[in-house]
Amino acid sequence: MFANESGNHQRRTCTFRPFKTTNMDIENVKSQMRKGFLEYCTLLILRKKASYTSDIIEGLKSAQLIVVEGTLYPLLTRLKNDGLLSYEWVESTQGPPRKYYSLTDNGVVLLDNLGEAWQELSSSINHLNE
Amino acid sequence: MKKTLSVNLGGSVYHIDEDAYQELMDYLQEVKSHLGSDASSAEVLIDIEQRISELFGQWMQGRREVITAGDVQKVISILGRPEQFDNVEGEKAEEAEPEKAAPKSEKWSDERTNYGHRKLYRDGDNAKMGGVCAGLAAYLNVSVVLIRLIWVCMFLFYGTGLLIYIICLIIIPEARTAAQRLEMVGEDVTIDNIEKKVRQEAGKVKDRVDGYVRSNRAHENVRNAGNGFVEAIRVVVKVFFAFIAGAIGLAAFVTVIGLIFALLVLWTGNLHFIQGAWPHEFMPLQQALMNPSSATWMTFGLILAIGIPFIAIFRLLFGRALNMKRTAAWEVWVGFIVWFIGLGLCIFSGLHLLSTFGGFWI
Repeated sequence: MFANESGNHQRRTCTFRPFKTTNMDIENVKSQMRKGFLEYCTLLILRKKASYTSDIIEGLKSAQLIVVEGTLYPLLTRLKNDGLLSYEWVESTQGPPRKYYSLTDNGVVLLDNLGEAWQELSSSINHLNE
Repeated sequence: MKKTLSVNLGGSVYHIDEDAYQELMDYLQEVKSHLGSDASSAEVLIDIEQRISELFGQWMQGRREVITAGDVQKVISILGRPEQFDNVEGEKAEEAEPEKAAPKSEKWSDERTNYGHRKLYRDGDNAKMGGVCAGLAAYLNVSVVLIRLIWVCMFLFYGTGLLIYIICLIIIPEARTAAQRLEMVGEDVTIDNIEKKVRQEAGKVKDRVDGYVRSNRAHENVRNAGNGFVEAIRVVVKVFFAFIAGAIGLAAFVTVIGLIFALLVLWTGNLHFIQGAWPHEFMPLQQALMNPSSATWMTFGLILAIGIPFIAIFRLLFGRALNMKRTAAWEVWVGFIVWFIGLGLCIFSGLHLLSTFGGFWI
């Protein structure tokens, strides 16, 4: 009788946590993590050289950080308005002139800060993993 | 064969199929409303348009001349739907929320400026039950809480409030279209305002869907239960009104039949049962009524002159409750003209009688 009751209890707790919710949570957490790295990675790509939006998109896609290009345009404009990026128009052989983004001094400072933060974070995660 | 349009997209000209154009317009509109209306979003939109233009340019490159719906879909899959923008970024949605909340608090002061052109509707968006209180609050430009409080007080007086609420629920139409919502809060129904409203509502729908996904559906269920309750009341009241309407209709039918019968009796001269009741001096009038032509015209005239307003009043009172089609303008006109003819018949046949027996009346 006692065993039966505990069995019931277990089944009830199962119904409270359907699989779907768990999956959604994982996706959400992943998305949050990517979101945190997106700005850092964008700045990293731009540190090497001034880039056109398509190049940045290619870089981020190869790092599997963004799914759709539309994500990047609001981000770039925001970073530019925050004074971290600047852009100049460069003539293109195929079509209209393009916006080439580059880091400002503020952007470089932020990138260094983020780099340090990343180092700390990765070392502490590695520590936890050991 | 398809019609094409030429568009300027990010500084380049493209020929685009009509359906593709529509799809692209819708997409850009979606993006625009997603980004909000600050200065930076205009810039983002230009960037996006430019990117689309560039992609089109790459795909065309002399091989083809016209952009098809397939191309537009490809562009959308590359750039992503606006709701996908946030999948990774997510920040924009949080930023946008205070903006959305702000106009709400300003709403009252804003609306005070153009008072007086409002129409009374039920406000389904801010409804707890049927939206009567919310609609009334919008109409009177006072807080919904106040109206609800008054209504609850009325409930306590032997349920008077309930009866009035049910009547309001049936009589007051719900504001369904954007134009009706604008009328409800007394804003001018212009294209700009409608566009604004539709965009607001699109945002609201999105919020609601987001909220639904995140919440445990408890709130939604309560709402649904509320809707079910309202529906149940509507059905019951509809049956009740149908019953009353049927009774009145039957009574009216009997009256009209009785009237015709009475005139027929007068006309055919079978006057046994009125003979005694009528004063002797009225005999000439009786005889005139028995004259087929004038009595027929009078009968027709009376039926039309009495029947048409009756139908109109009946429809006005019970049309909504019985879910009849709305009276069209031409129906009103036809009814009016026919009624006028009926009135004319009455007057003419009456005058004819008077002229025949003028000596008696004057």
